[in-house]
Amino acid sequence: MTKKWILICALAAAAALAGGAWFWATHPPAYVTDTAKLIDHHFVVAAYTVTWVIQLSYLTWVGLKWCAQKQDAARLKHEGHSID
Amino acid sequence: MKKNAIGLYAAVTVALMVWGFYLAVFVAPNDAMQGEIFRIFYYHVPSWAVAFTFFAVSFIGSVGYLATRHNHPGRAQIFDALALSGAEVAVVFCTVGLTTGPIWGRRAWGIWWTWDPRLTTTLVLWLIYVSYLLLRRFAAGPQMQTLAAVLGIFGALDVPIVYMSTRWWATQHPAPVFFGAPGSGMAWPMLRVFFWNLGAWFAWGLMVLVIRYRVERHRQKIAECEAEAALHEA
Repeated sequence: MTKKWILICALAAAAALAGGAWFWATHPPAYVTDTAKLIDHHFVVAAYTVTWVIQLSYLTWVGLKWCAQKQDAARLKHEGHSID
Repeated sequence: MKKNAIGLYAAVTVALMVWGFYLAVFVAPNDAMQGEIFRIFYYHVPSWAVAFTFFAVSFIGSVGYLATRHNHPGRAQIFDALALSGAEVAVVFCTVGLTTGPIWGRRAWGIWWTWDPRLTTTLVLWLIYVSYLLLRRFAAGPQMQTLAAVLGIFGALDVPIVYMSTRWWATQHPAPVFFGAPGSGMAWPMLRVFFWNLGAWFAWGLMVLVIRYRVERHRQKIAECEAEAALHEA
């Protein structure tokens, strides 16, 4: 997987996450009948969203690191060295 | 074959995450005391469980590195990669716990943070392992891995203190839900959802850990190759 594809996947995941969080926040369940319950709902959405932002950001960072290493490995191979 | 197995594992993990999310949001009943805000539990507690497990992995890696660095350098590098990847993924899960906790606390307690023993020891744990990662990132030289292994072992000693803090001291943080005082525990409809999410987050964590481990092993091989190339040129 190339750097470009990792960035495209990360952007798609970020867009899906933002859209999903917005939809979930603006469509509370039926038991949300007052302001206090609505704030609770928004806090739950925030906690779940933050969790995925952290996890997917880290996964993207590891993916980009992997790509950079693949380039290094290709350069070394081009120079006649072998990485086993 | 290997690629198919990895793809299948990733697909099962994603399916587990989706199923866990569905159960946590749409199926689990609201808590009688806290209402909907309790649903943060299904992400918050599994994150800690995974973080503590991976801190243990890092501890094993650090001990293994120190034990094998003189006699089995090749094996020591494997342990070192395990220690680093365990610590890094554990810090990610620890960050999730330290972020979702205050979000939950703000609604449940009315405050974002308090310096009670559980929260303070947890923050210290996070800081120790962040310093471990900074050491790995910015220090150089032959002693760096040894220093990092010692710091990793030192940091892991805080894990049992964090775990026992709600038993040893009076804390703002709630008493343990599992293995706590008589009467602690959860009703089955909630427990079932918790176990699904626990399994899902462990599957996710393991996947990320394996990816990070492979990246680190690859980096070690590149560094070794570059060192050999430099030696030939000199």
